[in-house]
This record gives sequence, C-alpha cells and structure tokens, in this order.
Amino acid sequence: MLVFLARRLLAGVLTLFAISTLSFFIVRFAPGSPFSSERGTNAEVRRNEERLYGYDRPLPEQYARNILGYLCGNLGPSTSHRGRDVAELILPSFGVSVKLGAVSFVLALASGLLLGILASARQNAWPDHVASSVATLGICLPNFLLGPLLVMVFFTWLGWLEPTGWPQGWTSWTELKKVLLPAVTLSCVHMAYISRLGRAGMLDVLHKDFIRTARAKGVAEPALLLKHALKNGITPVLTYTGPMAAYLVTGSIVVEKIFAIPGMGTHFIASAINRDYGIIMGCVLVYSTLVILFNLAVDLLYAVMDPRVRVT
Amino acid sequence: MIPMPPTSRALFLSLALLLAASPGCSKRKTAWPGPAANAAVEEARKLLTEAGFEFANDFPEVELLYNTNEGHKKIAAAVQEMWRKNLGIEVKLRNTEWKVYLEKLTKLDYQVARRGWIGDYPDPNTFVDLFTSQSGNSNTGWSNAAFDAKVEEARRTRDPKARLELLGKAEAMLMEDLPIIPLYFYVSQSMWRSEVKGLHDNHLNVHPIKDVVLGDGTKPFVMNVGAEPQTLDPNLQRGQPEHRINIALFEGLTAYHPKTLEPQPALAERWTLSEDSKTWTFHLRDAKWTNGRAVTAHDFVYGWRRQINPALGSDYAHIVMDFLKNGKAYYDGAAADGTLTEFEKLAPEKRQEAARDLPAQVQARHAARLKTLHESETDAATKASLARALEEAPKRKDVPVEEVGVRAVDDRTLGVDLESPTPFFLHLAAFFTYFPIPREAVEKHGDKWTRPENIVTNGPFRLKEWVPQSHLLAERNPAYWDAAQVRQQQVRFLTQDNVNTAYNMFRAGQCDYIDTVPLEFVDKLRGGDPDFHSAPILNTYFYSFNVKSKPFDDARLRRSLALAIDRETLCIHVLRGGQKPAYSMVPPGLEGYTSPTFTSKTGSP
Repeated sequence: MLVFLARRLLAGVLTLFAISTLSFFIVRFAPGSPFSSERGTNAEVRRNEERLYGYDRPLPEQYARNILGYLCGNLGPSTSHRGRDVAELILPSFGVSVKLGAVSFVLALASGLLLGILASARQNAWPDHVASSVATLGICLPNFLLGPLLVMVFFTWLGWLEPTGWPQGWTSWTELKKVLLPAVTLSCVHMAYISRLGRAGMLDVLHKDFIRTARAKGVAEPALLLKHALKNGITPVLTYTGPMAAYLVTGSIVVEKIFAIPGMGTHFIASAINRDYGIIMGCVLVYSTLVILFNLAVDLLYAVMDPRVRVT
Repeated sequence: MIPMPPTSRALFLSLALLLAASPGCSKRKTAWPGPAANAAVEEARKLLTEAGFEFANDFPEVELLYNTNEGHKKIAAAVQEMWRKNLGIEVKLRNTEWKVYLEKLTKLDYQVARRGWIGDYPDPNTFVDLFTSQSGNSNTGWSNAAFDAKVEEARRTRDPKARLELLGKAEAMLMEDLPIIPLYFYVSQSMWRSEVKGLHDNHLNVHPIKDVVLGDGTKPFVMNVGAEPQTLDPNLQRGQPEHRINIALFEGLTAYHPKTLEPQPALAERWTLSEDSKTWTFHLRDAKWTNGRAVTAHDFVYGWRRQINPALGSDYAHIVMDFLKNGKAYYDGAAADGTLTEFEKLAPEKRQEAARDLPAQVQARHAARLKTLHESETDAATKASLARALEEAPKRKDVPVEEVGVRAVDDRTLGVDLESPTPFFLHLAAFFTYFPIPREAVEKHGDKWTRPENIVTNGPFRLKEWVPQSHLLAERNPAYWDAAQVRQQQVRFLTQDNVNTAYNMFRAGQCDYIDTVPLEFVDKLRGGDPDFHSAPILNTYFYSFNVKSKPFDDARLRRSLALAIDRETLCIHVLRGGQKPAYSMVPPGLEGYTSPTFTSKTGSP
C-alpha cells in the first residue's frame, strides 16, 4: 500500500513537471505580450517593464527560475495585477471554486443516484423513461446555455432567485440560495452521467443470483435495493466520482463567468487574455495537482470498497 | 446565325445566368457589379480605376483585422459587403484576440484594421496629434511633414481661434490623405437608477463620484466599472475602469464638472497664467492625505516626474511630457540611456541594424560613452552610423529631470512651465496623469503601495477593501477638504466584464450603474427605459490603413474605399444605437471647432 502510494506520488510529481514545462513554453510562444497595450510607448519603456519581471532574460533561464520558484512554493508576481503575487490572487479564489465544486458534487451524486436507482427499480416503466429523458437532456445542454436559461426562468420570469452573486456566509437562506443556480448548472451533466451509470450498475447487480436468493428469502424490495444491491451496484459511479470532482472544481470556468463568481476560473480566463504568465501557470499547476490527487484518492477508495482490488 | 429551338435557347440562357451567378465568375471583368448607388460611389469607382485596379481580379488579397467582438464583426461584415457591392472587390475578415490584435497593430503587421480612439481631454488636439510622425499611437506608418508642421504651429499659437483653425487645417490634410477612414461616432449607453443623483451624461463618459448620492446616501452606491483594474497607481493606470475608481480616490489641481466637464477648482484654490500663456501658478488649498500629512506642491512635482520617468513605463507618459517644458527632451534622454545599454549588449553582427536608429535616440549626455563605442567599432557600416550619432549628439537637447517644467515654489504654490500655450491645460490638470502622488507610500511599499492597507489618497473617498475579480469598496473620506459636500457614505465598485451578467445584476438591483448594455437590448431600451442614458461621446470608430503596405500606399485607393462605405446605413441598420456617421476624425461637440469632412467631390456623400 505504502509502496503504491509512494510510486503514485512520484509519478504525480513527474506529471506535474511535464505539464508545467509544456505550458511554460506554450504560453511563451503565444503571440502578444503581457505588456502590449493600446497606447504605443517607447520600445525602451517596454524593455524596462520586461526587465522588471525578468522577461528580458533568455527563455531557458526564465524557465529554470520558474521551476525553482515552484519548488520553493513561490508562484511569482502577477503582471496584470501590479503589486500582487500570484499565490495571494488565486488561493482565495481557489477556495471559492472548491466550495462551488463541493456543493455541485453533493448535488450531482445525490440526484444522480436517486434517478439511477429509481430507473433500475422500475426498469422500462415510466420512472425509467423519465430518468433517461432527464439524463439525455442533462448531457445535451451545455452549461453556457443552461446557465442563462435558468437565470431566465428563476430570475426574469419567476423572480425567485438572484441572477448572480456568491454567498457571503453559509448560515442564512438568503445567502445560501445564491449558490443554487450555479451549482445546478455545473452539476447537471454529471447528474445525468451518474444516473445512467447508476442504473446500469444496479441492473447488472439486480440480475445476479444472490439478489434472486435474497428476494426468494423474502427480503423487502427497498432493503434489497439499498442494502444488498447498492453497495455493488455503484462501483461504476465511484470510478466516475474522481474525475467528476476534478471536473467540478476545474470546470467551473464558464459557470463562474455567467454568475459572476470570484473563483479561479475567472482568474484563469482573465490571465489567458492578459497574457499574465504567472497566473496562467499558477492555475494550470493547481488544476493539474487536483486532477492527480483525485485520481489517486479514487484508486485508494476502490480498495476500501472492494477487498478484491489490491493496490500494489 | 444558327437558329436555336426555343427549349435549348432557354437552357442556354439559364446556363449563362447560372455561370454568371457562380462565385468564380462574380468577379468583375469589365463592368461594375451594378449601377453606382450615388455620386460618392461613382467617384469611388473612378478612383479605384485610377489607382490601377481596373478589374477586380487585379485587386490583391486583403485582410480586414479586428479584435474578436460581436459588434466589430457585424460592422466588418457590413463594410465587406459594401465594398463588394460598390467596388466589386473582396476583403477577408480576420479576427484575433485582444493581445494579438494589439501586437499586429503596433508592429504594423496588418493591412486594414478596426480601431477606436477616446479623447483624453475635450479638445481636437487629442484626436489630431495622434497622427503626427512622432506620435506613438498612430499605428498607420503615415507620415506627412506638412501635417506635422500644422499641428506644431497650432501648438505654438496663443490665439484660441487661430489655434483651432490651424488644427482644422491639419485635420483637413488628414481627411485628404486618409491614412484612416472614420466610420462613426460612439454614443454612451449606460444605465443608472432614478434614485441616483449627481450622475450626468457628458462627452467623456466619466463620472466624478464626489457629487453622486444614492437616496439618502446611507446605502452603498454600487457601480460596475466594466473590468478588473490592473492597478490603482494613477501613474500606471490604463483604462476607463481604473479612471472610474481613481476619480473617487484621488484629486488633482482641478476636477471635472460632472455635467459640462469644465475644470473646477479642486486642490488648487486659484491660479494665474503668465502673459505669454506658458506659465501657470497654482495656489493649493489646505488639504490632507489620508495619512494626515498636508498635500503640498512637492507631491505634484514628485507625481509628474514619476509619470514621465521611462523606467516606470507608463502608457500615458505622453499626456504629461508632450506639454510640460522639456518633458519630451527629458524622457527621450532618459530612454536613450537604456537604448545605449541595450546597444552595448548586442552581438557585433546585430549592431549594424541597431546603429541605424541611434542618431535619433542618443542624447548629448551619452556622447562620451558613444565615443568609446565608436572608437572600438570595427565594422565599417556600424562605425559610420555611430559617427553620425556622435555628430548629432551635441545638437540634441539633453535635459535633467530638474529642468522639466514643474516646480514647487513653496509648499502651497506650484509653478508649471509649458512647452507652448496650451489653452486646455486646466482640463489636463484634472486628468489622472496629473494627480499628486504620496512619495512616502510609494517609497515604503514599492509596487504594493496601492493595496488597501498601504494606499494613501487625497480624494473624496478612501479605499477600504479590494477583492480581485470581485469588487472594491470605498468609503467617504472624512479628511477630504470638501467632505461636507460628499453625501454618499460608501461606494462599491464591481469589476464585472461580462456585459450580460452586468445587465442581469442591474435588473436584479444588485448594481446601480452599468457602463454598457448588451447589444440586443439597445433597441428596446432606447424605446423609453427611464434608466437608460445615451449621449454622444468623444470617441471615434475608424478603420486604419497600414500605408506602408501595398496597395494601401496609394491615397486614391484609400479614398475610394472610404467613399464606398455607406455610413448612414451602417448607423441606422447595423449599429442601431443612435451612433452618428463620421466623415471626420474629430467628433462634433467641441466648442469653437468645426471639422473638415471628406466628401465626394461631385456631390454629398
């Protein structure tokens, strides 16, 4: 187990290294500079700005400094927010993205499983059809469409919810409800996937011998579903939760934009437009660390859920 | 002639029609695509032929560049269609993201490009001197000595009427040669609630926050500034968003009247102007920084010198150095120092190229260094360039920063010496580049001096909170000299750059002011929403030619393209927001100035 963990962590660090190398050179070769602006200035002035950030040095040297900085936990300064460091900009926003991701995670998992179980319990009857319709819709609707649609219905037409904003606290309903629309928008597609995966997994198990035996022994239907079938039936769902968690935290870029949420996605987009090399790299690193960690966590979870899986 | 049966004749006819309509054949061989719509198009066609493009097939492949945006795209498509219809020529549309667009523009790596220019101050000069040879913002490659001379003459002219006339003559030259073709004049499209008092439409679209009050002033006034401010340092700020915030946090010698934009006494209580209109003396009032120290003339001297220090790298340095006495000479000299350093670092094989520009850059101060370089140089061509630079060095005026035209006569008196009479200087004095800067804060915290915990300001509001990509919070500054007039307790600046999201926020009551609305709502809002405000602003939308690229080096062709655009149609059917067709670079509404327009010589456009 420990060997496994160590090996995976080492592989993770190497992956991070590869990603940062690749993205460093990709962003540097993109046309445009952090200092290109609408007002023309003396070429010398541009060079001064570049010197300030060390961008006048040879690229390999900059690269080495960058990587060294990362090893020491220093993400460097931001060019588009003069006087601020990348870390102090993206860490608070990362917290926001994680919270939004967590709410969406719970929402997707709960509603997806519910739909999946319902569908499998009443296979080919109306609950199944409803669930599969909802899932198809959820998969088909991209979030840049779903978000504005929800705003139109719940703000413009019904006036129940506010179109933008982020909760300032998590205790009062007036604050809490601000998270609803973005979380639903973000989780919709995952809810759809989970309901399909859950249904397939459950059906697979429900046709197994031990279920038939249990049924023959007179186990009540709800207990059969939730106690006997569920644990085995949701393995495919579990596999999906790792990438999903990563998607939810990293994939909120569009949703954050629509609902004006001060998350990391907003920084990521802005930095790409502004050619803020520091923030771009910082975001890429945080995002990739997250994906690596979530995948590792899921592999470990397998072992806990199913003793037959051994991590070596 | 062989008689043809009717059926085959019909077949032949339809085939011929089909061929004529197919794309390969639509290019004009001999005739124009259709009759000319009006005299302007007639002239445009004549000019196109004169320029050597008798047949559309002769016309080379040309790209029209714009930064990715729905609005720019619609306009470009309309213009593309007009050129196709009226002149039978094809241009390709090319959109790129903002930074790439800027790069292409400044490096003259384009043929035709969409651009816009917002006046920095309410005077035609801000639109005309843009295109002088030494302007850093022309981006056309166009250079016209007679034009430069006229602009310079206008600068030196004291009589306001004669000055404007000269500027008018300069603009006429611009409209004759057309390195740029104006398309339309912008209008502001902002929204604010009726409970907000003190906001007015004005043609710079800036809103001094001092007089703004929402209801009784206890509820925060929430204003969307349209983008995340890149910095709050007045010497470094770049755009409208920063301007909207800093106008609340800082104050200069004068301040804009919220409605008329006339400069009002602000930190300067009163002022006098010398006989030759070149020396101003400002008497400062008793005012304090937020750290309790008095605002003195030294703070202005420090700020203005910092503004034009090339080492700081401000985009707006020209707004100060172009007007202060010796400003440009100091800036060039200080920048030349770096140029020489760069030159010394270059590998020998790269020096020849770089040495070509040296004569124009090197200042007297660097003659000694230049001499050493010249002596040690082995390459003949480079040596010749260096010799020329050395020869010209003494001729160039070299100026230390102390000789730039701003000085503290005493703590409360600021003397300003200008290069030439500048009747709009009181307007400039309200511009952010002329704000005083608290030296102690800058020196103590460096780049980080604009953070809420470090910042020292002198305006009607002070910064309390700044959450990047979210908002800034400013509260009434009790130490402000005119605090009694400030009734609003708190102002919250939002930095939302998504137009639709901002509009939703306004509709939801989360925001009291938005500076723009989504395109698709403009029609409906203009129909009679009391919160919608639209007024002409000093902002021109134009297409710019790279006159160094073929075929746009030919003024006849540029004029032809300019005449073949139907601006009325563009404004009424494409833009649909009350924009006005532009036949000049300088927008209307500047007192005492009438723009010369380019029109068809044979009739009205």
